[in-house]
Amino acid sequence: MSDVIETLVEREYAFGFHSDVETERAPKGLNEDVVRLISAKKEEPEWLLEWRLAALRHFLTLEEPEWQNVHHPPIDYQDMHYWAAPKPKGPGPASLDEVDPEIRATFDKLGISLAEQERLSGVAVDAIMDSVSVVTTFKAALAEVGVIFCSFSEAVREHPELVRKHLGSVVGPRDNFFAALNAAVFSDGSFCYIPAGVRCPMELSTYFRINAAETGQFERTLIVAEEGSDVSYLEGCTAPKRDENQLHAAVVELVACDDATIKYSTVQNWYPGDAEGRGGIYNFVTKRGRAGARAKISWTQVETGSAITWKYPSVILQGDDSIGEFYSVAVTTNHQQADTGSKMIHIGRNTTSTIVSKGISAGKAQSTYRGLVKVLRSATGARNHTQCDSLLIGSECGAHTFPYVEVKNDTAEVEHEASTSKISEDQLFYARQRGLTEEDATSMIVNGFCREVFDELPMEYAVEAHALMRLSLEGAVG
Amino acid sequence: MRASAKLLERHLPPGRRAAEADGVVEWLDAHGMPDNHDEAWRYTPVEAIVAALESAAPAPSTKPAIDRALVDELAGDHGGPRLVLVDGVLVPELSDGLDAIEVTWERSFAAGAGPAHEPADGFDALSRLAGAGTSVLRLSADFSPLGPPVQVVHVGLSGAAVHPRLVVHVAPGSAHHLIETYASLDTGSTVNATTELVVGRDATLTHHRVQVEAPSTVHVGRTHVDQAAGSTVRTSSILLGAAIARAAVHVRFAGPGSSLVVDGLYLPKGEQRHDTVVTVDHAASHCTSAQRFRGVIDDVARGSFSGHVIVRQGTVGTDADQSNRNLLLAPTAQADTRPWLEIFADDVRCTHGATVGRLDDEALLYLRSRGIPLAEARSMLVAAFAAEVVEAMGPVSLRERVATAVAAQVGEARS
Amino acid sequence: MLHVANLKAVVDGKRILDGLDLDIGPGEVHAIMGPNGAGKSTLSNVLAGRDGYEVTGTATLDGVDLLTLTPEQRAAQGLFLGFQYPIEIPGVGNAYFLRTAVNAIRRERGEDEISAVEMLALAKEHMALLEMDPAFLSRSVNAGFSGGEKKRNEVLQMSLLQPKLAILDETDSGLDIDALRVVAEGVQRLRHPERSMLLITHYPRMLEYVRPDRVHVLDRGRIVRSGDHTLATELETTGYGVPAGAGAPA
Repeated sequence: MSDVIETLVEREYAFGFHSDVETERAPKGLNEDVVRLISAKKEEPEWLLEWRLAALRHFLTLEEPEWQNVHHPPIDYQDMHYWAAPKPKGPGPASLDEVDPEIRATFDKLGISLAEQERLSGVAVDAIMDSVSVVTTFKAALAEVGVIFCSFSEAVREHPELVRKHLGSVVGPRDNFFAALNAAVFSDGSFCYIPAGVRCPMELSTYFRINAAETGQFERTLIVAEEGSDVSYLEGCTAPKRDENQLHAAVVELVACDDATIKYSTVQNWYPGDAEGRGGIYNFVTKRGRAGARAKISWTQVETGSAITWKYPSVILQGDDSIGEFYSVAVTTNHQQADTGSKMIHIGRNTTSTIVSKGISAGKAQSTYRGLVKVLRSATGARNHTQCDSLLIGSECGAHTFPYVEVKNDTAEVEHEASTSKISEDQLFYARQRGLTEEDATSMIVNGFCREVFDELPMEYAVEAHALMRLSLEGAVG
Repeated sequence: MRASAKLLERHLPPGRRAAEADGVVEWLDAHGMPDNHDEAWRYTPVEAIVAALESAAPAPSTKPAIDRALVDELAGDHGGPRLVLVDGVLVPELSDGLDAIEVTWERSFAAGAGPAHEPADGFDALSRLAGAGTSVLRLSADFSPLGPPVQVVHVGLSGAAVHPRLVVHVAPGSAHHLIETYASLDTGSTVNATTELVVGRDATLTHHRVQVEAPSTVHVGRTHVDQAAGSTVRTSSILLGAAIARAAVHVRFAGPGSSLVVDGLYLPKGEQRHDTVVTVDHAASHCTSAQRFRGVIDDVARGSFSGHVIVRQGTVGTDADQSNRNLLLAPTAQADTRPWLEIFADDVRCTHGATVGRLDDEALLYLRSRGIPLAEARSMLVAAFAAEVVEAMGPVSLRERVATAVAAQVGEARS
Repeated sequence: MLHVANLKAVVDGKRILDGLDLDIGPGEVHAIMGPNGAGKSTLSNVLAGRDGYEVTGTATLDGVDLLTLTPEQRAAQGLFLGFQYPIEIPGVGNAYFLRTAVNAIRRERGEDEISAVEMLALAKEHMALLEMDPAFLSRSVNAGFSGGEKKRNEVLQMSLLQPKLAILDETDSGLDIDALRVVAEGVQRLRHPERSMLLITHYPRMLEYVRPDRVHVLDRGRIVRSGDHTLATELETTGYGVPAGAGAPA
């Protein structure tokens, strides 16, 4: 078993390269001038600038929260850049062919070949490097059915009425410390709009890449699914290896109108830092969806990266008969810390929520599940089932489970179950007796432990998640 | 002025500050009273408790006017020696069998105390400073483990703020049963109670803490258990009375190979608030703990449970279970449950389960279809729900008292 | 093929195997019988390389020292242990597990890996002989299997892994008479001049189907008696009473 831990500690991050793309940045620091600069760069309308400035003023009155079970040196919010972008070589790319070859090469290296994606896989991709969207594929095909899939900046320019209507409607600019910061300085992100009754003809996906140093990344994603529509969306994330920590404070808002379905999947593989805990991304993210009547919002996340993860993808079950789901695998190794879980707020009648959380800790990592299931007085017939299981690999890691269940309606049925144990010696011995190496056996058992969550991922990504898990535990043994 | 300073000014006996403080005043100055931002107090109406203390009079020094019959009526008698404290002061004339056990009444909180630990919170600190005294009970090895339980009865009489402290030492290798009962007249007492149980090596202790105070009482209590190696403890907390009642249980495994069952019931109705907070600290290896709590909540009452298992780094062979189930009997009743696991070692097997729901309609229908009236059917199902905790209680006189309270929880029939 | 000499095993300070000697030649089937607590399961665990025992003595398979090898290396040498209580591995598909195991051992032997399609066909063929529903392949390893299903799954794995030495630990326990027949026939089919077997059992029932070449009685960590297959029948009538001089029976 000690071999397992040693090799876990030696795990290598495969996406740690840095691309030599010319970058333009705002000066370090956070103030109204920087916010004005970002807004001006993006040629934003006055209302959005005001919205940002109001968020900034509020942010400056807030203290960084301390309740989460993570530890890091204080973050100096004045000592980073709030805007960085690959320097445009002339006007923006009109097609894939015009994308800077260095950027294309970057995404190729990440296995996100933009050209291939366009030709073969039938998945529309919005690729975002540092603070800006570099290209969105398949726009024309999507436009035929009325689906809008573009960068946030473009949405502000082309569809201001939609953005204005929904921006901040689920995660307001005063929601929390990091959401306020994001509202002030958000740079880019993806925008999806699915018109009423439309089933989005392909998976939508955004690939986030941090490249520049000493730069925070603050994207904002907004997905609006009108009545009776249906969309599946996936995001992936990587970053170069750097010795300093980088802040990533994103906001995702989902609006699922009556009878709409949004499936949101995340494969998060930001740079986790090295074996001694140096460097890595601070991933402080606010994700929330609001579900109308009979609407369904399903979050699936596979979290293997980041030095620190802090996020609680949540669903406000506002409409009657709405459904919220959260399926999560969080793997932490070395010195990684994760404090993640979900909030399910039951407001409408006969609302149903499911939480399945699988946490794996190895090395010196600390993994925390934190969740809230709240049934309000109005939520007659609400149902929740929560299952959180934690697996420990090695004696120096920790696994913590902090659920909150608050029920104000007697017709609700809420069940919470959890377990924590080390990886089973019996299972390992059984598999090894059949000839599997300790590493293969560990990986197989861990994958089996996570199966329920992987089954929720879209097919193409389930394979990727499997591979990523293996990579995370690589050298785990042997 | 901070709430804690105001409380000290009001409740500290003259001359106590200098003589007895021992750093507690400073501790209280630094930490103050808890509020709802403190995780452990999230579901407690802590401001109302502080307000009750702020307005309550200090305990009177006059001799209490109470007779044995009233004590029996309020608290019952389960046989065995019985210590009776009225308004936080031991009254030997009302007590029985004191010669059979070793008990002393100490003015200082530190006297007879178990392993020193920081105050659990501002209320604990306040009780160390403002308490009239501490009852120190030494349960020895030669006391028959098969005899009737030792009883400690607290009666709130005058409507004052009282801070009773009880320290119990259970001798190594001995086996004892202790029943603590908190009762009061409906005079608006505020009870800030501390119990410390110091359980020796290989000792066995069964402890029932029964809170049956009158509806105008505010009760904030804590039980601190320190278990030496090889010991076996069962501690139960039953919350039945008071307007606001909070029972905190903190158990620390100080040595390996011990086992623990912490169980209990809370039955708030009307506008009652019952809050149970349990922490089990697996600071030693090869210990087993099980938490089992049931809440039955009616009317506009609110019942809360917070369970917390901590497994320390470097320990092995830990087995910890937590179970909390809640039954809502009325549409306006509220339940909160927070079963926490905090684990820093890998050789563990920990589970927890929590549920909130109401009586099973199918089961009710089934019973009624067999001719059982609705009220009786509800009563049977509630009794069955609480049975796991109630059935484990002894002696019979105590079990019946609690079972009666459970039956009384089911008011008139609702469909 | 298997050579065991003066094998001793201690767990938590308690000596379970106390100088055990055993030799099994190629193609031979031996049975080890004995009362509960005699050390039967410890013997299989120690030979398969389970952690937690202090082991001394000799155990070689075709001259290869087993005791220095990891469990998977022993498996690659051709040692198979059929577990008394096969372990459940939730979430891991049976088919995937079988293929991974078969390929791990094939790789070790320098053979080509087998594809998922080939594996499926092969598994189905073997499953038919064991009267197993092919639906087992899509279920998690042993999870939710009945006792009999788990034992069949063990024999299935043995037939796919083609070991040199199969140790079957109480493979007959917990089986009804039909399941026993199927499992025993499965074992009998796998008898081969190049394959040795060690059947560990508490009851002689299985030995009616799989007639052993030698029967040994294990008691208090050593072999106290050996004989041919008639010894099993004798034990059935007389119990494990050990001959005079070897200590009084309990």
